[in-house]
Amino acid sequence: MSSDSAAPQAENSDATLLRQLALARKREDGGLREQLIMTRLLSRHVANIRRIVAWRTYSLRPSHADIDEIVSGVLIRVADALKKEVDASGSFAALIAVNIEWEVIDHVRRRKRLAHEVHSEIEDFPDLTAPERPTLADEARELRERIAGLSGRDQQMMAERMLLGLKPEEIARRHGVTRQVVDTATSRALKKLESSDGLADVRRARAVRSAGADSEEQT
Amino acid sequence: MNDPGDAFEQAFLAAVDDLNTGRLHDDPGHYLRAVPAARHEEFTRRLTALMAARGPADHDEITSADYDAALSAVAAIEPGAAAAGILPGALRRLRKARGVERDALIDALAAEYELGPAGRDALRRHYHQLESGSLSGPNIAHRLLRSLARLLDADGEDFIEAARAAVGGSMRSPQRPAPAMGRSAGGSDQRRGAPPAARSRPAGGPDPDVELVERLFTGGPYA
Repeated sequence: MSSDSAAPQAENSDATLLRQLALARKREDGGLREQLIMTRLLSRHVANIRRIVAWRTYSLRPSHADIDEIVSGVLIRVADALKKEVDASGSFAALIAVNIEWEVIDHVRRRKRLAHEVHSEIEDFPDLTAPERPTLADEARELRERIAGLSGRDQQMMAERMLLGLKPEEIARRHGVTRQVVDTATSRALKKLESSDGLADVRRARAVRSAGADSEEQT
Repeated sequence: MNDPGDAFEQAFLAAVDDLNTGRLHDDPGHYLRAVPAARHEEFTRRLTALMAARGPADHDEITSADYDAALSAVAAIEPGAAAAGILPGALRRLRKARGVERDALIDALAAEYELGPAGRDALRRHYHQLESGSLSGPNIAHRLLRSLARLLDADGEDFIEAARAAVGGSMRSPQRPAPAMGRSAGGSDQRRGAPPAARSRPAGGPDPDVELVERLFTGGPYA
């Protein structure tokens, strides 16, 4: 099983809706249908976006209202991106990941601005916008690639547990092994995933880009 | 993660397995308590990468609030539609695409509901409010939306779905209660759109045609 085949239901449903969206867009009278398909597409992801945002911003201790605001911002960004261009072959999950990252960064900046307006000495927000941090989209892509790079049963079991969301007992049944074997294989695979940092180049590139942007801002 | 019994790994796998069964704890602290503080960020980054890579889970139900949040986002990028939802713009575009003038549409609706002159005037006023986005979509009767869709050669269910967007709706708005099924106070004649003979004007009372129009535009989905 390749990592690309993981989470097929989500991708297939997204792909179907994206194809329907592209077709609706070609019709002169397809405006409403296009908006409703976009709504269905986005609504499928709201719960997952909310989960990601709650975890991604955990260090900021966001309120429910903060999370709602970020989720709404992400949905608007993605809707805007869809309105401009529909790529039925592209990964909708990746589009969402990119926009979660940007919305979180904007939220952090807004909070910093607000905090400085109230108390100019406040500096202790965790910096979620630091250039050395890989983006969520980078990390998600790299996770899939690294799982695909594992070999044999480790790769299958990791994809099933991490990407397909199967329970360890289900994986054990599929492979005719005990739960213990699944746990051992997962532990071994997690160590292998951790042994290399495939995002070092991304971090470096982001740091260079950020330094360039800072120097432009100063001049 | 140097040891299979490592707290980080155990907590991570516990979170993954809870995620897989739809029981992920709302509070990340539930898992992070067992993880050294220095690795909290690593933990949250890894778990969110996993969530992003796999997309929505099979057990993720699309709640009414989720749908409305998505619809509000789609409305927000429509010029001038953020407050009124997507129906007004859709009506204007469809009329244009079909080459149907507003008066012609109003005439057809007035004929379908057998309205007299006063009812037709009320219809014109309310339809103008509908197209200009000053009516609340969820309060529009479904039978009227189906009539409009039929006259514009569109799908009535699409119109009903589009009308869900609450005016000024957002994720922080309290969730609307589910609509009561067909419990219009006026009884079955009112729900079905009684013919003019049954809508004779009581002496000194409001025009029944005007009342019908008001119910259609503001009386709720089953009016």
